[in-house]
Formats: sequence, structure tokens, C-alpha cells
Amino acid sequence: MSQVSEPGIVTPTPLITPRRAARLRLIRLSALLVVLVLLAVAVVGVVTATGPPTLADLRSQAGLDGKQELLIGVKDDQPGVSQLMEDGSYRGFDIDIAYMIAADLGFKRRQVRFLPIESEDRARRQAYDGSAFVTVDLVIASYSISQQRRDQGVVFSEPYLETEQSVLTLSSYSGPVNGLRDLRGRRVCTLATSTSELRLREYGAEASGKNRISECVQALYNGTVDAVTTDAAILAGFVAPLAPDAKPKHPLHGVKPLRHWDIGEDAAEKWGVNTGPNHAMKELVDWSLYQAATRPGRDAWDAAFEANLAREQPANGPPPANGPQQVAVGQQPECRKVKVRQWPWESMILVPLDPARRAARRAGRARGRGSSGC
Amino acid sequence: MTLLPAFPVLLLVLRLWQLSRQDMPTMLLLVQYVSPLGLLSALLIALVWAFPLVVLGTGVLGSVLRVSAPERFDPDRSLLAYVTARTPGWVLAAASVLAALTWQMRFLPALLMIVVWLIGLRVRYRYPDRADLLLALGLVLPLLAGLVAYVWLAPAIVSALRHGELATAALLGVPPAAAVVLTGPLPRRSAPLLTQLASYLVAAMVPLVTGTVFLQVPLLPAVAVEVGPPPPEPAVEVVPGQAVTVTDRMTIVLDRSSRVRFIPNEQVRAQLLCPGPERVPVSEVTVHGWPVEQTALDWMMPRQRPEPIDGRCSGRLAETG
Repeated sequence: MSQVSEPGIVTPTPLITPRRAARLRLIRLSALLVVLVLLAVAVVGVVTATGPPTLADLRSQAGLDGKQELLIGVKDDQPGVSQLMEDGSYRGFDIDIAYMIAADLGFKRRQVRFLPIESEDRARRQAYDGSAFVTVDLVIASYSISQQRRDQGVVFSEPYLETEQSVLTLSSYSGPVNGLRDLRGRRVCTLATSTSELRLREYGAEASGKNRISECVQALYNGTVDAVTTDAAILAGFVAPLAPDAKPKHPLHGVKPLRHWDIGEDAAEKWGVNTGPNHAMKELVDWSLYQAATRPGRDAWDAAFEANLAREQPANGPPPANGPQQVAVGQQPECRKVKVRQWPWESMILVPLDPARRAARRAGRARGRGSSGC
Repeated sequence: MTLLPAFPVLLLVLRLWQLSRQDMPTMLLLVQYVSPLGLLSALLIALVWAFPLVVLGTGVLGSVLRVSAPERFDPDRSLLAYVTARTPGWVLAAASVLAALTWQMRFLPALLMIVVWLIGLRVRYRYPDRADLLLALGLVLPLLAGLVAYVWLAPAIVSALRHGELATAALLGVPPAAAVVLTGPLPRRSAPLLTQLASYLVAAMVPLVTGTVFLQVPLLPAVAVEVGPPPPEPAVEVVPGQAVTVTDRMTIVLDRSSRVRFIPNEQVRAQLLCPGPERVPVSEVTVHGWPVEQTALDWMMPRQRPEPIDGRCSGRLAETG
């Protein structure tokens, strides 16, 4: 209000007293100082703000610049999850998730190399490439996240699938299996170093650990074990019929009808990616999973689930089939928001859909299934 | 003043020195091939915002001094007074328009404050006895401008606070209110001291900030060069870096570790442009869709259609696997 009444430099008829004018000048000076300090601090703040890293920063920190191929350790004997075919290709949910993550890391499909990895080698990321053991960049091998494994130094990404433990027997198996305690005294096979093996021992079963789940199922067919237990998403693949065009490199022999038992375990098995100790790599994988869950138009997770695991559900469905045992939760598990600095228009770039994913997406819509979001 | 033209030259030399990572032969090679016109264009584009900052900053400080302590406003003794007295209004107007086009959106409220402040002070100086003008341009104009600014900026200020970007919120929210308060004289005794101090501060900070900004500006295009024998043989290597020049025998590339690579032209299978090291925005705040870190020019001018980045820009061969 001072501007009206306060005299300027050469005001002939002052409207206010000189004392009041001086007070107004003082107030203005104080306001100016406050504004200048505030703006100076704000300018320094915005000019020096670095914000979260960019994707390029993370890729560089993860050592991906100049890298010609991404090595991913996967299982090769788990139908529906990750299985090696006669022609050398891999198929399954883990494989599709691996391709999705690799694309976000900047690798095309042909720049991804899968190496079979044994259960015991997953923590150390050691896979055999045909001539020697190599350290893979990522392990995406139905690897359950557990505190014990974290304590051993395994760095997990956010979870990408939620399933539970279940039991597989021959259809001819007599007794019901309503819980692991029903397996007391039975010969039960499971994966070595798996979370299932620990629980079996707690319930007094005669547990034998093998490095490959297919060996367990083969032992079941051969009659040398009574039951196999591990994650339902893995076992469901053995119960469901193979896709008509699937020709596994390591087929099982003496195949017999199987029965999949829901053992009422409430502990969820959440699968994660072993990203190794590089923090940037973990951030990149988590960002990829977060994008899959939240960005509209990104349906790679749904497509992977529909094409591999949802297909197995009828065979594992309610009686008189072998169930009911849910293969896995049909929604992407909740995951952490990863902040990455991007140009505003980068969010508009959508991954083009291939025909298979488009079909899976349509099927997903028809069933009303969608990812949960984070 | 006579040393002023030396500043851009110093900046250019420093930029080349930094680009060569302080390696003299590399710098001499760059001096040989980098076009002076290109360097000057880069300098101009990168620092065009600094010109209105200096002109308007000087104008405001000088006007404050002139209105607050006219007896200390001596163009013969003070550089600030000299520049203020001799800067015509149209230069200030042109500088304001240039600032409106080249300052980032988040600094536009501050520009509004400066312009309104400047108008109020000039009216006070020229027409001290025109109460109607003082009322219209000293009070009503800042009030109206502040009101319109707040109506327009309110969603962005809320969004900035929600994202925890206090600095952005302050830059958007403080200046319109300040514009209403500031259009008048300061105490006679403190005005000279304050304006002198502020002008020294601006004189010290502007070269520092412009130098820092310029050192981050790309001078050479970012490229990836695919090297190998002619097709159908596979490529051997991809060299990501910055293209220095192409002679009739060699393609000269400054790679990511600032080593100069001389690649015989017959081994160059492909060359592609890569995204430059431009600064990706930090702030998520937008003002009605206008990102606060973009200038009006950025926002208005057509932009290239976004495309996924080619893997070769990361040094990855296209035909692996």
C-alpha cells in the first residue's frame, strides 16, 4: 500500500509523514532481504539438485556399457518355468521375465545368453557354459527370496512371482497329503539347498535333495521316492501336458499320471532375481519390474503368466483333476517404486507388441486379470 | 570492460581443454578440427540466458539506488549508476522478452517480479508526482500480475510441495508476492551498500555460473561408429564417442575415455547419431504440462519424435548372438 501514499524522490505534497515513510522503507528492505535469501537458496537448490540417476547412469554403473551379451542363469528342466528345448532355445515364465528385464537393460533378445544353473550355484551366480563355469549377470531361476539367503549375501530384486509350496505324487498314491506332516517317514525328494528341504526335515520326512527337480520327478516315476515337494509353480509344469510343439532336450521317461496336492502352506514363496552385489544392477531390475507393474501398456508380465503358468491351471484344477492347487498368484507381486530420471517424453515410448503377446493380452483381458500395480 | 571479450575466448579454450581431459596433443588436434563457428554457436546457445540476467539485474539494482538514494547515484563515479543511466528502456524490454524465451519456466515468476519491480521504480523516478500512475503501475499492476501468476501457478506449487521440491515451490511461489512489496525505495543509508554488494555478487557469480554451464555443453556430436571388415563379415567393434571429423582417409573419433581413435574409412561400416549428454530434468513438476526445467523456446519448438536408443550407442554390436 505504500506505493500510493509514500512520497517518491521529489514529491511536492507528501501524503504521509517522513517517519512513516522511513518505516515503510525499512519494512521493504527487510522484505527484500528475505526474498533475496529465499530465492538465492532456492536457485542454488535447483541448480545443484542432481535427482535420481538416469537409466544411462545406472546402465553405466552396472557395467553394461560395451557389454556384448547379457548372461542369465536359468533352470533348464522345469516345464512352464524354464526348460531347454531340443533346438537349444529356452521356454517358460522365467525366460519371458528374463527377456523383459533384458530389454529394459538395453539388450535385444539375440543379445541375451541363457546358461543352465544348478540350484546350489544360484547364490554364487556360477553357471556352466559348456567348457567352464562363468559368473552370470543375473540369476532368474525360480529362486525364492528368504532372509536366510539374504544373510548369506544373496542380493535379491523385488519379487516377480508369488507361489506356495506343494507336493507331487503319483496318482496311484494311497494316502491323502494335506500337509507336510503327512509325509512323515516317507521318501520325499526336493531341490537341494531349497527352502522346501528345510521344512521337510522339520516334519520328519526322509528328505533327499537333488540339484535338478526333473531328477526328483524321474525318481517319482521310477518309484524310488514317494513324493516330490517344492514350489507349486514348478510342480504344476510336470502335471500339465506339454505344449504340442514343445520338444524338451531332457525328456522324462516312464511318464505316469501325477497328482498335485495343496498342503495348506500359508507361507508364500516369492521368487526374485539374484542381481549380484552391484547396486545399480539391482536398481535396474527393480525398475524393470516396477515398470511392468505400473506403466500402462506394459503387459509383458501378464503375457508371460498367461502363456506359461495360467495354461497349466486346468490340469492342476479342482477334482476330478489333480487339485485344486493354484499354480501361482496371477498378479504381479507388489514392488518398490524405483525412481529414475527420464525425459518427460520417454514415458511415451511403448514396447511394440509381438503377435504372441497380443494374443495373451487379449486372453488376459477376457479373464479380467491384470497386474496388481505397486 | 576491455577484458570482457576475452571471457568467451577463455571459456572456449577451457572447454576444449576439458574435452581433451587436459591432454595437450588431444587439445591441439581438437583446435585443428573444431570449427570456431560451431564453438561460438554452442557458446551463444548455452549462455543466451545470461545476457538478460546481467541487463535486468543491473537495471533493477541501479534503479533501486536511483530511487532510494538519488544523492548517491552518480554516473561519473559508479559503474552501476553509469550503466543504469545509459540503458534505454527498449534494451530492458528486449532483455525481458529474451529472458521470457530463454529462461527456464521455474525462473519466469522471478522474471515477472523483476519486470514489475523495474516498471514501478522507473515510474517513480520519471513521474514522482503522478499519483494515478504510481497507483496503476506501482500497486495495481503488481497486484494483478501476482494474482494472475498465482492462479496459473497454484497447481504447480502444490505439485512441487507434494513432490518435496521446496526449492521449486519457492521459486514459483515467492516472486509474485514479492513483486507487490518491492516496488518502492529502500532506506537511504542502506540502499547504496546493498546495491553495491549485490552488483559485486552478480559480477562474481555470473562468470562462474556461465563457465560451469558452458563446460557441460556438448561441442561435438555424440556418435557410435561400427568398425569391421566389409559385409557380409560381422562387425568387430562399436566405438561410441564424439565425432571430431572425417578426412578422406580417416574418421576421427574421441572415444568415451577421451582417447582419439583414428579409424580408416574403409573399416567404418556404419555411423549413427546417439543421444547427447544433455541434462535429463530433475524436477517432476509441470505448469499446465510445461515442465519447469524447460524454456519457452524448448516448449514451443517442435521436437524430434522419441525413438528407442540404439544399442550400438552403448558400444554393443548389433549382430551379437
